[in-house]
Amino acid sequence: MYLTKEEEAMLNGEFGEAVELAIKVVVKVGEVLGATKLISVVHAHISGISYFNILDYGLEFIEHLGSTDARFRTFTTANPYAAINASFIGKHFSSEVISKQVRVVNVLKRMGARAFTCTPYYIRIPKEGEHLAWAESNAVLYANSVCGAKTNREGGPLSLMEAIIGRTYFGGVHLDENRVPEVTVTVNALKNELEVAAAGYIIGKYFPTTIPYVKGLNHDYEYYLKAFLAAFGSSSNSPMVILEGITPGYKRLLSRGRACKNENIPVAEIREFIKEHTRDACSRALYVLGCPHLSEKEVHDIINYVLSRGVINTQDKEMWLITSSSVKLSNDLKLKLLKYDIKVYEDVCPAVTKLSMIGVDCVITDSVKALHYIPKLAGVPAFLLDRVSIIKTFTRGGSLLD
Amino acid sequence: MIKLRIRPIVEGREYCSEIVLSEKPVSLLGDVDVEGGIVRGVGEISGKILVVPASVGSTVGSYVLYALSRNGKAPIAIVTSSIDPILATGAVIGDIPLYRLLEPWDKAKNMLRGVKEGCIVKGEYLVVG
Repeated sequence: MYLTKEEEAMLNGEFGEAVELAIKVVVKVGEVLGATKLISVVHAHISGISYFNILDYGLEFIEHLGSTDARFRTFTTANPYAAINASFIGKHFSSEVISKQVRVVNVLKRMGARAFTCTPYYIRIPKEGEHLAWAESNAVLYANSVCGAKTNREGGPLSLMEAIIGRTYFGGVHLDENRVPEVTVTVNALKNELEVAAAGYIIGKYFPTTIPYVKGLNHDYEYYLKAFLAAFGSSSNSPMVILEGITPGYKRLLSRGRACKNENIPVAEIREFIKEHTRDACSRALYVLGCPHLSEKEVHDIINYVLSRGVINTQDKEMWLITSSSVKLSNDLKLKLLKYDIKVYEDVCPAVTKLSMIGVDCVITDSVKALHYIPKLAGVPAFLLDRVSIIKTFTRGGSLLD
Repeated sequence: MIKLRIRPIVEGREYCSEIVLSEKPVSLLGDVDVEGGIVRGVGEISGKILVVPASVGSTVGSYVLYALSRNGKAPIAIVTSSIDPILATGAVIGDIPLYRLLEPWDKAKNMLRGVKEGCIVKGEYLVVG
């Protein structure tokens, strides 16, 4: 691989032990994948920071890095961590789990992590053509497909190394010739975020390794796109979807592509998928909105809707609104929500949290991504319900909006 | 004597050791006991040459190779048909020599079944028998 003088110096240890290790990892991975050089990135986003995923192995490695003088050499954000600060109907996590997660977070903060969120595109909006090194599949898909920036789907440890050197290997979808569609998929007449997300999940299942060109997707709201891409990223390994009318330069990308094969995903199949996974209650149910993290607009839309309705005493269930602390909410507002048994949690992710430990029996969510990951990672079953129905479960009607 | 062609990804020195063959891909996060240096269903790997077709599963699996090294339970080398970023990352941070197997997997697997020991020679060959 070709390396600049500065990169050679990094590899020779002139920038310290952590940088030497980090560039060695990125160069080796690049060589394995056939890259011929490294490129600078304007934003790195690290995944794999939940203690429940990385366990003591990851904690030890990250603390080892933290014991050096390593700092991130580019704008860096990280995924949300386990919701260790959360409680569910009075039950909390053990102090051991809390302290181990806090140790991981503290090292990353010291190294320069600016935010903990799975929606780094709300923290710093990527510009068209920018090179990024992002892990976290929904963010990767959003960056490539909505913003027109360029990033591969990096793994957790690799993205950490890339943040330390501010570079990634020049390969995959950093190269224009790899940003071309191989199949055209039409999805028409989808009516809410759940249908849009289910469509993404089904398309991903059909095309787990190809970049599809998607036509006809309902994108009335920005969060529909987010839900679609997050669900697609749960069932597909592809880093990108080319979206009609959305992806910057999509016509140009199409002209280079091989998307001659046409597929249609029938609405009936999408509705059947949702029906199969829908449930509106279970005992000790946790209702989750915010996978991926809610945007500022979503948080305020949800809160305004909730506060326009009456309080119900729900007893054996809670709703969590999950977002990033970059969304500023007053304590007064949070206290008002508590009356409805609705809590706001920031910078965390229930899907990477062992929810079984705090007595959650099931999760009910409007997120198909959460539906996919909660049973695997959180240790409890998950079901679907649309956003409005979830809010109505916790509030009493009678307002003008109802 | 059988010579299987390999190519170094993360280089190590020349050595001979016991060979542990996993016929199926290994999930680093799910299948490895880092305290015992064991791949479940395969056996002890500590200080041995681990031959696997591929690794599968979560990207945080790289940390498992680091943990094996820290515990002094790492294999002395890993030889694999399919090298992915997770394995390459883990081998570098765990300082475990990693080689790509240049022979077809089915052929290599058949040759290595029941073989007890092998040597990494010049980083170019896995020599057995």
